[in-house]
This record gives sequence, C-alpha cells and structure tokens, in this order.
Amino acid sequence: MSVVDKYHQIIQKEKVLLAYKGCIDGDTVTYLMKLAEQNIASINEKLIIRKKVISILVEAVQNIVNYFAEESLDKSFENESFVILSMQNNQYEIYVGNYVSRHRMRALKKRIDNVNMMSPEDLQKVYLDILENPKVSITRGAGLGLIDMARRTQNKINYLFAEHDQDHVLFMMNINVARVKNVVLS
Amino acid sequence: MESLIIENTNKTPKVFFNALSGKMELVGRSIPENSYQFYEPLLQWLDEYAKNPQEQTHFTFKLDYFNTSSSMYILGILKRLEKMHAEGKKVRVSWYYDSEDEDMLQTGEDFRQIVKIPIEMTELES
Repeated sequence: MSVVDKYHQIIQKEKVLLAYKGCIDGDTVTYLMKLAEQNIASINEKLIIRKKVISILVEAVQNIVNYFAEESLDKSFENESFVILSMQNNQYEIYVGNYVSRHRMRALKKRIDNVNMMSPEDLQKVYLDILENPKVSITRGAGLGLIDMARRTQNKINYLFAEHDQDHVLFMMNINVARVKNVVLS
Repeated sequence: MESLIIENTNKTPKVFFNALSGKMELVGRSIPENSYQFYEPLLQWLDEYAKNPQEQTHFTFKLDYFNTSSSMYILGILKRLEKMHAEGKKVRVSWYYDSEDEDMLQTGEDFRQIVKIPIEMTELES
C-alpha cells in the first residue's frame, strides 16, 4: 500500500475533519478555527453544535499556546504540538498534544484527575468560585479552561503522558462533544 | 468623554461604547489569546465613564461564544456596572443568546448569580 493510500484510509476511517502538527501560535489558532468551522459546516452540522465544538477546540488549543508562553521549552518541542478533530459515533472528538516538562505533568495530572472526579454540580460550583475569585494570573484563564470543557461537554477529559526524555513528556488530551444533547437524568 | 468603538475581528467582538447615550454593546465572538490586552482598555473606559455616567446605562451582550479568559473580563465589566447600580444609577443589562444555545444561556445565568444587578435574558431566533 502506498503512503498516500495509507493516509487516505486513516482519514476516511477515522472521519478526520482537521489534523495539524507544528508550532501553534495565535495566528495558527485563527487558521485552525476557520478550517474547523468550514469543515464542520460542510457536513451540515447544526449551528449550535458547531459553536460548541469550536469553542471547546479553542480552549484546548489555546491551552497549548498559553503553556508555551508561560514555560519556555526548546523550539523543537513546540514544533511537535498537534491537534486533530474527527467525527465518530455521533460525537466530535478533539485530540490535542504537546510536550510538557515533568514538573508540569504532575500539576496537569492532578488537575485533570480532580476535574474528572467532580459531579456536574461540583463542576458548576467550582467554575463559579474560580470565576469570582481567580487564584492565578487573570491573563491566562486561571485553570478555568479544563473545568469549563468538562462542564460544557458533560464528558470526562481523557489524557495520556508518553515518556520522552528525562525532563519532558508528551501530553495528549481528548475530549468529546456529543452531536445530540446529553440527557441529564434528575 | 469620547466613545469607544472597535470593529470586530476573527477573535474579538465589536465594541460600541457610547458615552453620550449610555448605550454599550459587545457583539460577536471573544477568543483572544491575550484577553488582558483586549479588555483592559474597555475596563479603563468604563472606570472613566463611571465617574460621571448617564442617567441610564444600557449594556448589551450579544456574544456567539467566548473563551474562559474572556469570561473573567466580562465579569469585570458586570462588576463595574454593578457598582454604578449600587451607587444609585439606572443600569440595564441585556444578555442575548440563540434559542438553542444552552451554553450561552447558562453563562448568562452564571453571571446573574454572581452580580447583583438585573440581567435580562433575551432569546434570539436561530
């Protein structure tokens, strides 16, 4: 099988709407959002779902931009960031990845585990608490992004750290957005 | 005092703050990487306006979506309006959302819980 065939089959099978690997800065975010919007619109998705997917995607991708703004890693690490958007099983799947320091890995793991353990009510409460009393730098979202993603998708945040070297790991994160409204049983 | 008018971009909303009429609007999407850079001048303008506001101030939010760093500044705007209201000025806040957009409705409700000013929720037909 030729390489082009291999890639085409992956794109078809996984229903990939967008895939990018490289450095992500503010301009890249603009382009990625535009392409994602076009490609979701091309499958006649409802405006409301389009907005939701784009806003979650923005949050996930800007986490990467903000991370490299806060902690400077070698440029070669920045060039390995990636984002993939696919549509499978009646949901949009967002995957992002970037290298992080081991120190950051520990903080991220703790934060995501914490978010994943919260009930929808807890997420709502913590979201309001942080919004009102941001603990960290107001310019960078105060860690509100992860909570907001979990709260709005009503899904867990899946993540994985792949070993790289003594000081760095590859952080990969996935969050899904349902195409139909999640039913909350009361 | 001069009005503050900024055209929308791919990442920032249209700003229409009219000092003479007391009408202010934020329209579009708000997803800047650096929310501070975009919102700080807006907050400064509001602080200046609050020194001598019009008899009635009407702030309209008509946002498609926004990132979490913007949400803190939107709260900052609402806090300033709340202060004007507490000082006895008439303040009206309109929060628009698409009829099916539960996220935007929820966010409006969230802000309503935090600030002590009446926020009118208005549904737009999508």
